[in-house]
Amino acid sequence: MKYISYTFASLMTLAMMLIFINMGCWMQMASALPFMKVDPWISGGEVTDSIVGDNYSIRIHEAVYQGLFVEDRNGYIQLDVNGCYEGEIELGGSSYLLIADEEQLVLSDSGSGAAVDVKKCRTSGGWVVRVGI
Amino acid sequence: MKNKLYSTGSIWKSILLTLPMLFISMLMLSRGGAVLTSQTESLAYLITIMFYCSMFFMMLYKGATDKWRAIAFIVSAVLFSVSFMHNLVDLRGSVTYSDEETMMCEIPFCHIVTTMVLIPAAIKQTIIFPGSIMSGFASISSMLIIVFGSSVILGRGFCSWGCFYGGWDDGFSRTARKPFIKAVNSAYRWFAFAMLIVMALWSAATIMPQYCNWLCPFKLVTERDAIVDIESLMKNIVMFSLFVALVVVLPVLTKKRIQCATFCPMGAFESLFNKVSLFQVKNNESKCIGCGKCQKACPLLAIGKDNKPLINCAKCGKCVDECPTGAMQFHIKGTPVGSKITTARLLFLYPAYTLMVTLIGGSVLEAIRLGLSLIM
Repeated sequence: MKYISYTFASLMTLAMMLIFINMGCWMQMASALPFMKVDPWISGGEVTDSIVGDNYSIRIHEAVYQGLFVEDRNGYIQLDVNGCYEGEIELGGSSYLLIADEEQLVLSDSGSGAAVDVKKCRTSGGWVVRVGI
Repeated sequence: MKNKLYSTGSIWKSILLTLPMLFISMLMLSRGGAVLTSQTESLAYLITIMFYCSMFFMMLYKGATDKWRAIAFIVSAVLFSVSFMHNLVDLRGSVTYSDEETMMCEIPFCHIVTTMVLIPAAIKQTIIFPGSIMSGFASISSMLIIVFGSSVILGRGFCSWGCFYGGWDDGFSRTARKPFIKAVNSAYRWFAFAMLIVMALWSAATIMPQYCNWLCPFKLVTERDAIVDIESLMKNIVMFSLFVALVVVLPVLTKKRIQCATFCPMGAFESLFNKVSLFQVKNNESKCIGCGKCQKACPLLAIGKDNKPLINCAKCGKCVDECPTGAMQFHIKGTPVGSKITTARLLFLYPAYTLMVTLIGGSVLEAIRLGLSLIM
């Protein structure tokens, strides 16, 4: 028994090196595991629709909801807006007016005209916006 | 002064036993030759290898584990922060992260987050962290592989040999010659386990790693929230206060790694791996005189009243160095207690030091390269 222990212990240095040397292969294997995807609540979810024009493109993500066992009633829809756009957009059954250019991004309710409070950030290609639903 | 029990006794024997570590360091830090493209980079590579190998040599020649480990560990932690923050400034223009990095999932994954992603990974089959699974610096998959792989091998030894934050705590705990607060109840170690449970549940319930969000003191020496509103201001105040209290003031007063021993959920999680690791620290009862020096010396409150190492031992080797009779010793599971203790120590030192050199050494090399480029 003790010789097996010493043998295993002496192989541990090699095992430690293999963790790093073979990292690319381990990463491929790990990324294939079913839980190895960023939670949609954090990543914004899958892209389900897109609107493409001459000088703009809008990618609309699926609606995502927070929750561990059951999903919360409140969630958001993420939009990736590239280029300049001014027009109406349908999100989660409601209609919004979206104005986006290099300087600003404004989303307002089509009916009342009231500005909608959104979480947004400027990226190299345009804007990422999260609209509460 | 040499520890006669563990010292190799001869310079040549120590050099011979350091050669495998020299080879490992050269291999693991070379990045396939990418670091040898200029004179500065080659010099930085050489200095880094010389530094790590000389510390390893001293461990063997002098026989003391903790003293030389601590020097390598503390220097590694400080230079890791320098290199990490410099990279962030290079990449983003600041050491803070904004909504953009979070929304674009570009935050580097740190090993402490592991404790918070496990429950959602099991229930929701997703990772609750705004990082990348495969690409970029410190991707989620690479860090999870390192954490689980090294923890299976070393148990909580990760906290004393591989954690790139632990050196801060360790460093401050060594600044005073004598502790101002002499008795720290070892029961406080259970607070880390409570933190582990609370953080895992809180993070799962909110689908957000809340320790990183609100409580991690090491954000001060890596990256932190940009102050844009009251919430981010509060987060920064909490993080700064915790760093001062848990990483600086309490370690100085107690000479214990208070953050690591009582507050870090990762430390508690790593402790569980001590059950599977081959490498242990044991008290050879036939040699123990019950002086309690090990208990006083242990920086992680990991030695019980009966002078036996507890589940949260991080295998730093301080008790082994302090023990006047050699009762405290490195041990390999499945072998008789007290036999071949120098071999057991050596077999532990190689993988433990390989982890330090490989995981943090790259950042140390980068920091040295930065320093050299300023003066050359």
